[in-house]
Amino acid sequence: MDTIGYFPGCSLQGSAFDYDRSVRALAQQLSIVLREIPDWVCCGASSAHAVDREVALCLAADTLAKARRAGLDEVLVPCAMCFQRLAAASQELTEHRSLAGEIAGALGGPADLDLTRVKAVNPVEWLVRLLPGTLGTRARRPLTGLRVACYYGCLLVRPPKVTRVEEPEAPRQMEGILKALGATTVRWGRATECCGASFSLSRKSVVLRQGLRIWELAVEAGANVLCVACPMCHANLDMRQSEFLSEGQEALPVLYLTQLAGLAAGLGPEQLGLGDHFVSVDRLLSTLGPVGRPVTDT
Amino acid sequence: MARIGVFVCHCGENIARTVDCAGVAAASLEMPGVATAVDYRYLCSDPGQALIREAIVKVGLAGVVIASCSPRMHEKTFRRAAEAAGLNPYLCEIANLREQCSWVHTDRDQATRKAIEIVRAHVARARYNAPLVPVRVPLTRRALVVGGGIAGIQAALDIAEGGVEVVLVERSPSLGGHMAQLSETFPTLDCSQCILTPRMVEAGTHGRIRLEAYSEVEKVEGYVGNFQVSIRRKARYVDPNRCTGCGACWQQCPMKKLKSVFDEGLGKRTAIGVPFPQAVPNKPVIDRENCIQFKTKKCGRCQKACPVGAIDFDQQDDLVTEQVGAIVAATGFQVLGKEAFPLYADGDHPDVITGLQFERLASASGPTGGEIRRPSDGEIPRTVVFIQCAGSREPALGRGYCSKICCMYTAKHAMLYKHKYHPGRPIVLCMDVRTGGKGYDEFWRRATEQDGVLYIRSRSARVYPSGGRLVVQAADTLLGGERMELEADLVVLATAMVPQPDARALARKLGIGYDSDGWYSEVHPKLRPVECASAGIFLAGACQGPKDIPETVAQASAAASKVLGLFAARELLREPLVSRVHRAPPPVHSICGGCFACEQVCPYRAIEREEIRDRKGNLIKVVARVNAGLCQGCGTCVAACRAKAIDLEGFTDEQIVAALGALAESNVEPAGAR
Amino acid sequence: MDHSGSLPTGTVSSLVARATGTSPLACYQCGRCAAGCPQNVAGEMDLSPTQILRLLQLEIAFATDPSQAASLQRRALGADTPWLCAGCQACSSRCPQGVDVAGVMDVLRQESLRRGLYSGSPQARSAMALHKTFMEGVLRRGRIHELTLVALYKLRTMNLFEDALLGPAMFLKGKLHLLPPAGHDTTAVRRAVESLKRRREEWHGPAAGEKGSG
Repeated sequence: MDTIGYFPGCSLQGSAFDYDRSVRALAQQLSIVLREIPDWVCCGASSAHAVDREVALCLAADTLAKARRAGLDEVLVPCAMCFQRLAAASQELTEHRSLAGEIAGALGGPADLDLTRVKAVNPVEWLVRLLPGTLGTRARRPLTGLRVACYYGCLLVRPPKVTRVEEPEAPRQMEGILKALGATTVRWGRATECCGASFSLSRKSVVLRQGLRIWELAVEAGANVLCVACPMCHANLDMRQSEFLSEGQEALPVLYLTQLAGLAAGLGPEQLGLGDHFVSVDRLLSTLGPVGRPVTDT
Repeated sequence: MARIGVFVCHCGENIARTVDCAGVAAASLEMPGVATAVDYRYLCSDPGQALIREAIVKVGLAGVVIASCSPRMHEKTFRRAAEAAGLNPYLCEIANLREQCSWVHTDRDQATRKAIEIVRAHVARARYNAPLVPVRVPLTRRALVVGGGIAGIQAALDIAEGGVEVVLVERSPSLGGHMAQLSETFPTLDCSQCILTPRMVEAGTHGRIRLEAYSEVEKVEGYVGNFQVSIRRKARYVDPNRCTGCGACWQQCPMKKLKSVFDEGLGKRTAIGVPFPQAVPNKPVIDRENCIQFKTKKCGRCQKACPVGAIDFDQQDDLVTEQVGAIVAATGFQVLGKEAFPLYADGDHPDVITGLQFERLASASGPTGGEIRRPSDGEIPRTVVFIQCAGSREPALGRGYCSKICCMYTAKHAMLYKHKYHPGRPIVLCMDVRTGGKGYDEFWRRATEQDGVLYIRSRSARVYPSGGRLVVQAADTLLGGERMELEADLVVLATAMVPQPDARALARKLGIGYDSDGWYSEVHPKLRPVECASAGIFLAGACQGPKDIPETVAQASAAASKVLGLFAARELLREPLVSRVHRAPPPVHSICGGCFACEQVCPYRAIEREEIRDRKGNLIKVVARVNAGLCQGCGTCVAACRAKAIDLEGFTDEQIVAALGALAESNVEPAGAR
Repeated sequence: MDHSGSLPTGTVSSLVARATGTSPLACYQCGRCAAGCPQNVAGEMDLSPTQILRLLQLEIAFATDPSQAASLQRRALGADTPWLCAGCQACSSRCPQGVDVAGVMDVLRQESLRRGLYSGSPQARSAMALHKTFMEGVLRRGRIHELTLVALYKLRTMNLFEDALLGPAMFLKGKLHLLPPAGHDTTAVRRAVESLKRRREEWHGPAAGEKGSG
């Protein structure tokens, strides 16, 4: 069985427990072992790099160190913010190798601890990689009837030198996965516009404004579901949706990529944490067919 | 002992500021072989040159060393002065005290010591200078022009009018290039085709122009005055001698919905046809990729329709060789396609078009008959946003240069749109507006003041579709720069001019240089702007860098005059600083062992094989010989020759050893100490 | 183009160049960052990102005039803009000149706190309060417990009632955990931070320093 390191991060232990649940269930369904990094600490999120460059780097480096000590080369990071912080730290340390050695030492070693060897992988990359062999062959329920607006937000795609995304203005990886699983995807203009997550607590008007902008274009493009791969995006678009929509505007279910992939892989809504969304997913689920024949011929 | 004169130039203050010129002259007098040494304020001036001439005659100098600026600057001047006084010009030697000494040092004592060392080395090698005679090369008085856009047409016509035969090679089926696609031209708004097509016809029918359309340069051999060029005539599948251009074939062609290349994909064409009605030559070509006959063998309708039996599906490419003495590269440019801009509606939205596509929309002969209609649904756009600098001045996208023509053509586009559709609102997003050129700024001001074109000083951050229109994100940086979202029906990108995709490959065939962007390099950006470093090859138009039509035409005429100037001589004289293979009387003949390592390393293909035979014609040995016409004097063969059988005239081993010896002996101590 | 080598010592611009690898002089004021910034709209940022870069360019030009430079620094460091930046990186990844505009905002926040020149506006203060609360939580307990974070932040800003209704709903959905998880040791992280800060000071001199032009 394949094994990959796992860094859930604080959100997935709190409000985004449904995301955590879906990632774990999907991995299990695909016979992949997730090995959680022992004793991990917070990635620092947007606050650390905003106010203290060194703390930002060292928090992320600590997780990389713990992963290496556990013998891991790759770590699956479902949260886009955590992914960004770990990948950015990795990149900074690779560019300044002497710094990497120094920090590894200060974090308690051992002497041959190579922080640059650990690669943070986000769920989009992970599923793109799993699609041909594992996910594609095990998918048993086509996502027919779903018209998905894939919402990438910021940190999965930018800056491209950290995220490894070739075309940050027109990413298509989520579309590729979902199309292969039988869904229809829509083209729309705000797939990479910021949802305002970092102001969720301190300036709510920002997230309401941005949430509405995202909802508007997704609906205009004919989507009946929004697909995300970030707990902050999900919180702003799902939890706050009733706040930014006015009367008469139709609610749009917001699902994690891993939840959609999990449905295709034959998992039930409960296993994927779908019962705990603020925007009801019931109508969406009713459009899906039963678990049956393979979805793809890959 | 040689009698050498040393002349130290102050170059005004350029050298004298950091080098004690009188001191250098005094120290020179101590050097072996120096008969006279003086310093002077401006040696390149008339009195300065007279000073040198007088000294040569009066002192009876056998060689001179001019300690002055770089030889690239005034070597010719001083050699001419020496020649005028009866000295072989190659006995005049330049020691560079300016670029290599005074300009790069600040300490006067040290700079002076270094200057003396430089002079010492040159004096040492000057003692071994030999009188040299320029190499004479015969000359073929025919020219090749590569590229049949306005640059190539102009150059070919000017050369032909000068009495010289021209082979004009154009790779597409017709002359005309990009200029044929344009609607109206700035700053006068005259119709592009109206002024171009007479020139096309003239070039196509001129008695001294051999037009090779739908042909490409395959291989170039030889050197200035004597090039052999192979040209591939691509199969048209139409016999041009029979074809009358009547059009019966393309009217019958069932493939009617192919995207027109000439209309930049906005119009339709057939699989057989001419690119546009005024094509020169007016002979169709079959597009093999899209022809049903070629794909399935089940059509041939054009063949049946042709009244003169000109269609020939079995035609093959044809290679011809032409002898020419000079070549003009006029291969032009391309513009970036919108697919290079994912930022602007993912680079694939039908209503985001390039400036060149807008030209086709605005052209009376274009797919909309000159009406501005957006490609998606044929509606007339109420708001058009023009985005300048798309891909130009964007180092992050790999291009730092300005494409130069976009400010002017965007002003023109906005104006044409407004003239054709009065209620329309044209908005231009720009970083700044560059209008250097006669009547250019007045033209732009007319667009804003009379036609009300709105200029917003901003690059766009993103364009995306919404509500059947396009949203253009911008910021008015003159008003503090708050984000604004402009709604537009059509977005026109002034995409960057880029070199032809195969520009580098052709440059390698021609043996000419190009810069990091792929534009062809001139010898000197100011003083020799149309010559290539490879003698006999000249540049015209945008293959050298972004240019507008007036500049292109001016440069083409300049290139033509360079060709005619070259051909005005009876034969070519070349610098004698070339390699020479050792020859000796029998029985040695040459110490060359015939290994031809030199042949392997020579970048100019200048090494030939010479058979040495006895009187009866029996082969004694095969040795290398340098073709002085091709040799550029780089010296690579000298380094490669294991037998030391090759020497470079003017840079013989003797001279180099003498120069190094002089430097080593002096031990770099202060001159006064010796 | 890398111009980061030779900016006047002590300028904010020199810190920007060091942290982001690109000098503010690379900015040619095209406005693309401003055009695409989701927070550069009415009622949010007081200066556009383009204007922030312009202030830094002026700071470099007038670095030898202390009062002039100080006033430009006060304008850049005291702007709301850095605190209203959402960190979405659209500006950095689109800049035609390769300027890391979001990285500039990071430096401005850090430096405004260090020099005490930060904006006093309510919107800037609430962003600051959140970052501070967050960082204290992380360094104390190693992980963030959302409910604790919210509670401490609300105490800090005395904004007790916003989203008061969301809490119970989240609790019902199982999205709010009342008890914080066990603490995680951050001693090693703090040790590494100290070591890193020491090392950077050795390299560059005390925080305001700048590498020499040679």
